[in-house]
Amino acid sequence: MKKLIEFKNIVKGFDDTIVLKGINLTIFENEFVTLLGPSGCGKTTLLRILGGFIEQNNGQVFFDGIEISKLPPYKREINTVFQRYALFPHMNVYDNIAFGLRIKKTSEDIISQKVEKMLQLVGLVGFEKRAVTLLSGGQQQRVAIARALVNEPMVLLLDEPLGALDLKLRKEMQIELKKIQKEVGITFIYVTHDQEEALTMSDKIVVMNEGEIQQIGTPTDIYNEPENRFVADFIGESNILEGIMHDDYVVNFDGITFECVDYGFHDNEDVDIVVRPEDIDIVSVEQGKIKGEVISSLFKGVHFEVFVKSPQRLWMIHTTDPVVIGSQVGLFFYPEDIHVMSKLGAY
Amino acid sequence: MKLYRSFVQPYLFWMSILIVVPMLLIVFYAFTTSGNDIISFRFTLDNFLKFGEPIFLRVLLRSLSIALTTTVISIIIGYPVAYFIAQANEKNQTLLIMLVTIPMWINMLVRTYAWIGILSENGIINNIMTGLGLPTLNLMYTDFAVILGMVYNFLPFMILSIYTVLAKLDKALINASYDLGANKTQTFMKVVLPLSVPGIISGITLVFLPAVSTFVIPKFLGGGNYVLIGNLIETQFITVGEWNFGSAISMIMASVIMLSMFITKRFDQDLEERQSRKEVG
Repeated sequence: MKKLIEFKNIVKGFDDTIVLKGINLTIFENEFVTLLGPSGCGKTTLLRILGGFIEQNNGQVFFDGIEISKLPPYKREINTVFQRYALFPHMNVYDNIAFGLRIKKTSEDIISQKVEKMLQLVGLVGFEKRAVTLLSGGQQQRVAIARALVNEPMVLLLDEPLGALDLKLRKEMQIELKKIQKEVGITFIYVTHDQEEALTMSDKIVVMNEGEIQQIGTPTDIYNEPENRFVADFIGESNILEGIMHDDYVVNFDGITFECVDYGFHDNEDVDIVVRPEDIDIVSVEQGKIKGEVISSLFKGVHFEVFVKSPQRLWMIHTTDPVVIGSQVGLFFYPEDIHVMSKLGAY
Repeated sequence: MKLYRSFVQPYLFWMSILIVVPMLLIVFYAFTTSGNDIISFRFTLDNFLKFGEPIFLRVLLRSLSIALTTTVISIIIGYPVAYFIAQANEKNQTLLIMLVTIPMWINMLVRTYAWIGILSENGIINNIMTGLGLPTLNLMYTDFAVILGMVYNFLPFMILSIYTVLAKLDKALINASYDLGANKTQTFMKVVLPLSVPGIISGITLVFLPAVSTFVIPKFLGGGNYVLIGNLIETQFITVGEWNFGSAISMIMASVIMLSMFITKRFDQDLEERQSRKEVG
């Protein structure tokens, strides 16, 4: 894959707060990259620097090998889908989509062909003459995507585009966006604070917190192998505990020594440990590695969310089998379900 | 709620005495001959027919054209000023808006008098001209002086109504336009200007209407022979004593104003409809 965008040591501050603390990130052609993090982590700022709407205090942005920091937004081969769509209220659907092409003085014949193609892509054929102000949120969203993609950019930036939609529509749009990205075959850079959205759509997730990148990886990497406590906590639900790495493949927590699959730590290094709730099985007291009492069980639709109190802590377990509250149970997990993380770089 | 509503009643009473009754009297005078008293009066349309004479029609036409010129100049000056203010940071915006409104704190009569001091034969401008060895200019009692006075007096209304719209304009729309490849000029022509039309329209209403009916500015800066429709009405009532004809002219002017308001309102409504659809969607 070819390198398309490169951020080199990007620093950005507003007034006296530093929003980005030296971001280094490479994005390749054809990737669906998600910048994921809580609000205020700097993800939108990074996107706006790439779009050209704000300028970094320090560092460089390379696009296709060329430094673009000084280029105004209208000279960049990048288009954006804005947070609240920012459709032009004085134009209809067709004119909104045709805007960029008309600026480029494209002939009206070609414009009409391209707009029609885009309307097909986003499923809005027949909406040409509608006022954009009359459309629903989901439809406005589609127009915004069509308006950006019709210019055939090399990169599409999406700034929390689904934030204003309801849950069902959001899920539909997630699948559709992924489909559109595959169809047009360009790089999508997507900003969101919704971890589920990120896991569903991305080829690569960049987890950010407080102006720093916490981890870059595929959705499975990020979920199964979080690099630190923050990532483990932010992505999915987890039991995070502290322990000591005795040796390669041997970890101790809650006063018990467990076999695990992690290695390469210092002897007796203090570590963070993640055990995902769905990896824990509820078994009889004799079979369990840890013993405890069921204190609550909530039905969540697909699974039960069960809390079990062991002498040291409260464990969260996702199970499809109902359990009796107040009963004594054992908790069982395999060595590969224990994920050990270095405390270095943790927050 | 009921209690508060009853507080309105004295106000309604005085409003009818001070506004409705005088207006009815104007209608009464306009349709009657002079020399009436309460018991014997004669209806007539002569007062309106009299206005059909070319000399009066020319006054009406002149008033409309002066007011139109004033409005156009106000847009040409007011729009860039409003745009500049809307671009400034928030603190400066407040300051600049105050600067625009400060002249309005002073009575219009006084402000107009001040222009006499600047424009007259021995005024500031001519003093400077003489000082530089240039011939003096005849500035007073010209169309120029009258239009200058009107633009000066009514410009703040234009600036404020355009500014209000520009300040509310969603910055994301401007960014979206840049993002789609439009440079600053294209963005202005295709996005900012069309979206600020409602502001321009309310500015036109606020400038054109007072400009068409003012009589103080033409009287001071245009001189005794400079007659606009406002002056004509004033003379009929105060100098000539022809209340009936004066009333008829007032009604004609009121109709012209209502017609022009109707036209601008229609134009504005078309736009508003589009805007309100946005809120529904």
